[in-house]
Amino acid sequence: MSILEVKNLSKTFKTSQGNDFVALSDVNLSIEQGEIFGVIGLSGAGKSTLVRCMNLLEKPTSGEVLFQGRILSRMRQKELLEARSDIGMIFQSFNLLNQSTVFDNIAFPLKIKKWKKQLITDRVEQLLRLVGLEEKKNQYPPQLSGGQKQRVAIARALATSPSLLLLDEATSALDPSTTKDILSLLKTINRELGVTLVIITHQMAVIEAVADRVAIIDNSQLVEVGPVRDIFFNPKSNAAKRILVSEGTNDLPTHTTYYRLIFQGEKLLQPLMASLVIETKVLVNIFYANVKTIVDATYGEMIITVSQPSEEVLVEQFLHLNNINFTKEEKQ
Amino acid sequence: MSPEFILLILQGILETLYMTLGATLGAYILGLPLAILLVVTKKGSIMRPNPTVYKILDTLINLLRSVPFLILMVAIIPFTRFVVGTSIGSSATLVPLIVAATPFVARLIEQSFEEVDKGIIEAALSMGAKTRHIILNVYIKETLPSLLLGLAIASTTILGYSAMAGFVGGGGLGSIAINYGYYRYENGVMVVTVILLVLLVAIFQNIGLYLNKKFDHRRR
Repeated sequence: MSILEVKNLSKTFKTSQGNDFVALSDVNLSIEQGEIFGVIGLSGAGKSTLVRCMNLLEKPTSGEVLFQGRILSRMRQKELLEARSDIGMIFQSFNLLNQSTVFDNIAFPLKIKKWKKQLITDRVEQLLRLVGLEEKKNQYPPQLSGGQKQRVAIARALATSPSLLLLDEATSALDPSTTKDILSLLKTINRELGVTLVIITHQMAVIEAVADRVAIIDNSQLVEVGPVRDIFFNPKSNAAKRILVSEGTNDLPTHTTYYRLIFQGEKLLQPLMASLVIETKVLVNIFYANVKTIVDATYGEMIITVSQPSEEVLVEQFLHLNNINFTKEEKQ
Repeated sequence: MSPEFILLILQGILETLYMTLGATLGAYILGLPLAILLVVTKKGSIMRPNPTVYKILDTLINLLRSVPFLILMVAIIPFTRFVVGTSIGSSATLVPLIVAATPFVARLIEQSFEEVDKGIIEAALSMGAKTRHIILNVYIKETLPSLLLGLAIASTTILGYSAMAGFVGGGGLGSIAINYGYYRYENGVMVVTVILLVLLVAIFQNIGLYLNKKFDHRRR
């Protein structure tokens, strides 16, 4: 069952010069109960606008957002506030109350809902344990590290036990090791509490680490959506290809033809490139190589180039023979 | 110094404190809701933007703020008489003090509120907070240190106004300075009142600074 549906969603902003700026154009999406759904795109693609439309922080110009089958923009104010307490949101800049303690920050959404004091205390203590910040409850956010601040924000967003959590670039301000910790916390929240997550990011690594499915937003449009593994193996849209291989092909001269190889299982342990060179006598150039874990399976990814077009046939033959998944692309 | 003189000065101090604190209280009671209306209705506000309401309040505040205090005080004498029954003495001075300080205080509070990061308001909205929650828990609580600093500025400015009111029978240390120090050439009285006024300003200023530090959790 889908928990959130986005139907023909468009959003146009008026710029200060009075021109129209299209942030989103005719986006359709369906997010399933219990999944981790990633939305990736380069900056300015419209992904932040999309997530802000999902809890109506931004009003769609046209189209609809359905939360648990009900159209958000047709709700009365009171119903919308109810719905919002069932949709948590996490921000890149944490957005904590700096003059309130960690405890009061997490208690804030419960106070809004007029919970009893004792119930609030119990719930906040429970959340502090979940995010591992029991000792920090009387401190103020400015005294915490970025990762700790984001943990407070996560606890705050979970306070009212929402069924959906929206994360807008939640890890973009954090260093790689803190990012890893936060992502594993998010995964725990998803698996153990059954909270559906929508993760907006520009980092493919975040998607690869936690998401089940991913949508790619490019130039205000949804260009591709599917299981992360499928898109990783076989990106169809140009935007997906650009995002997937950007790290590996950044320094490649334009119009160069390159191969993107993906291999898994025992092939990870074999000297594939050495065999290729010996068997085909083609001197390949390894431009990029990495090992990634996607949905709990490990993959090797490699970008290679050859110097002569005549050698391409030999290389392709070798890859086919050895059952190595590859795509041939030209650097844009 | 004669006992009468000391009594006179003491009474002056009490009257000045009465006017300053009373007018500050009055100006905040009226200025705070005004400032809240300003930020809530301001263009681009994510609560209830209403350009017409904002424009009217904004213009009104600017108009009142541009009338010099002494002129304002004399100009609204009929209004003061209507409210208090007289236009002389420290109670009567409260009326023009509040009228003059309210728009000033509203601006000070509005400026403090402007410091609030929009992201925090969005976060509150995303939790299902109503405008009331945002004003109390976000605007007021988040900017408390800055509001307290504003309070110090407001009270010292009002203290200055109240001394000015001494010129037209306003009471307090200002009146003593005018009546004894200026009209009777008693330079000693003039010096004493000036020193006392400076001391009072310093006390208000320091109380404000102390409270600002005490309630600011950002720099620890």
